[in-house]
Amino acid sequence: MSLRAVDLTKIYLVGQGVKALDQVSVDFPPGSFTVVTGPSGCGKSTLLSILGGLERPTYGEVWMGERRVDRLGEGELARLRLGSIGFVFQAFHLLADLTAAENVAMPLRLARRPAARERALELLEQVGLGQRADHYPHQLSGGEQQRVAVARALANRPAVVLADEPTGNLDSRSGTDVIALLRRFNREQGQTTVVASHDPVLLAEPGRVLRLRDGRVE
Amino acid sequence: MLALAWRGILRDLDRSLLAVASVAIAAAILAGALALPDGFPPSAQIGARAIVGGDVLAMAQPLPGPAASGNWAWVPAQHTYRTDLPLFFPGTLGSLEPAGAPSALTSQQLRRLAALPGVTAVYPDYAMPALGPGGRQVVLRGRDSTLDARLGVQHLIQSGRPLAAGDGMDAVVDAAAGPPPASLTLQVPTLRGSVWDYGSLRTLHLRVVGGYRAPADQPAQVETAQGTEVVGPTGPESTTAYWPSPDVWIPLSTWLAIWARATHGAPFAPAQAGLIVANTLRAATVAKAASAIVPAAIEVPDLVAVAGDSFVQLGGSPVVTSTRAPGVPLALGGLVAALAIVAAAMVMAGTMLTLVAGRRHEIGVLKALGASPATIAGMVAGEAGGLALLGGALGFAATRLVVTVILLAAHAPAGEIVLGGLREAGIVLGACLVAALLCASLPAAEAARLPTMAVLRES
Ligand SMILES: Nc1ncnc2c1ncn2[C@@H]1O[C@H](COP(=O)(O)OP(=O)(O)OP(=O)(O)O)[C@@H](O)[C@H]1O
Ligand SMILES: [Mg+2]
Repeated sequence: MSLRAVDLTKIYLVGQGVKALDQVSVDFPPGSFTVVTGPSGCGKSTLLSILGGLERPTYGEVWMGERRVDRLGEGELARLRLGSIGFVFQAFHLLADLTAAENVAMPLRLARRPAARERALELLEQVGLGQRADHYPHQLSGGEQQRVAVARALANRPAVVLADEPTGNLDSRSGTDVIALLRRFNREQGQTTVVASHDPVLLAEPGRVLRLRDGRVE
Repeated sequence: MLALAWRGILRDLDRSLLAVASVAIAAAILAGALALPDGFPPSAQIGARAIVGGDVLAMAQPLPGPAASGNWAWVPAQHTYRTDLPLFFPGTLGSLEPAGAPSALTSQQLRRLAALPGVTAVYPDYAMPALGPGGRQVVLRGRDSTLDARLGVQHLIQSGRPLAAGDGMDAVVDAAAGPPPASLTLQVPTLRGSVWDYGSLRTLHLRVVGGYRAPADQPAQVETAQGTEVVGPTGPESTTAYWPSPDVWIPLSTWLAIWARATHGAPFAPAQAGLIVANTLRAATVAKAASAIVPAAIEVPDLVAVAGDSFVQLGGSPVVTSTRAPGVPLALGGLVAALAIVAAAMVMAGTMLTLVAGRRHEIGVLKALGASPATIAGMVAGEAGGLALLGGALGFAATRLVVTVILLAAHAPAGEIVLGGLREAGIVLGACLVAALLCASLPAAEAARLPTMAVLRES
């Protein structure tokens, strides 16, 4: 599914106001793999969170396919995130009380899908963690946790995957593994994938790169 | 979702247990308060039950309030005495009765009373006036010996033996003044219309099998109620006649035979009937149901409470004392229960607020994954409701166990115990649930409103 931002502006009303995004217009074609990069504070996280419906833009529009999403109500936004968007965060954000398999199954359970555990195990197998299904996050390495997070993001077969610095907390080896995973799923399943990162490995690879500076597209 | 809630409870075990315990205590108090106002302890009723044959009295006339004056008239042969005393005497002349036309319970009313749940027997007041030795006014009372055995009224019999079925013309008489005589000659007037005709008397010869005297430890000192009004021929023996006259107890079959002859076959119509309840703890419920059928129905201790002042005034000492001050335990129990529920709800609210605060991250992640605000709010409310139901069930079970033991000891029927238990369980659990959900609504709304991105950026 295509993902499109039109004149996105985000102003955080703190102090004198922080303009995190300034009239960003960008188009992510269906099945594309895009890396968003730029110096710290340039607005990468803000862009991804608005694209994924976690935050609302101050001005501008977000389109997912033919659907405008920035005007959706909270309930509809939640349904959109559940069914069509997968997030991967720098800090993993796994649920500490649940095992790897339960974490991966959570979006399936929220969507009331049948056979959630079977699908979760299958996904863990695909990210190479079939043996670690019943381990809790604190029993896994950072790289393993992030692979669980990738499996969880893909659980409901989303049309869009948004990854915010997925390798930021990982050593280069684990980082490479995670990036390889994202690339493989993008290639095999065709999710529109947007990765915010300043990881040189990622930037060295061929593909589309969007550079931001001070909230603007360079 | 369930796994998440369960592990959340385990992680916050102390808090969760505190919430469960506080709800349990509140539920126990509420269950106790619900059981409290029903009926009265059997010790309160023995005297009244023996005299009147009931734990609840159904009357053909409305009861006057204690302040009403002269609402009842005692009309012996020649005089009419007015009094506040709402007492239990035959419904025609020669008796204490409501001022105005005498009225009687219909047989249909009696049948409906007997059909009320919780009523094991209806004892119509089989009573008619008679004249004893020296023209002394006495009341001839028919007793059903089988029913009396069940009511445990033999305690009135101090000598001889209780009346038994097939005793024929045998009688039990007042033995307060001394040992009962071996035989007794009575005269019974004839009923003409609604007036007892003392000009046409029938003579009865009775063999006396026993005498009654209220035991000293009984508050029901029937014979000590001294009347100031003197009835019939003056003389030392008739000065004790106010309450209202000595009773002569005879078997019911004999009484019915005498009634048939004295009234020329007029059907017997009692002015009042005693309802014997299976379980005095539920007498209040029965009285309430009965008052929908007859003009007045009242628990015996309440009746005594209403009439108590009059008794003291007239006799110098109370005839029957109620062991229960009506209304007080009910109001107090209700207040305590309400306070307990409020306190438990506050603990629950505090628990839920801490829970939401401790789970900001978890809630943020769930929202990012696509949990709707309603799901999040439902999760918090569901957890509060679950804890409340658990606590409520524990507290209710504890109290109900005690109540059930008491009810079983009072020979309450199993069906009634179960039904009463279910009804009270519904009320207690419902109250706990409503209180918990009300208190969880604020934390639930707060959880649903948490800004996802801000929460995720925090860590
Ligand atoms: N909730 C907020 N309130 C105020 N300012 C904010 C908020 N969130 C982000 N900002 C500001 O918006 C700007 C963009 O932040 P953002 O997190 O998108 O940058 P980034 O490109 O992701 O940086 P990094 O590479 O360090 O993650 C920054 O100046 C940041 O301080
Ligand atoms: Mg960032």
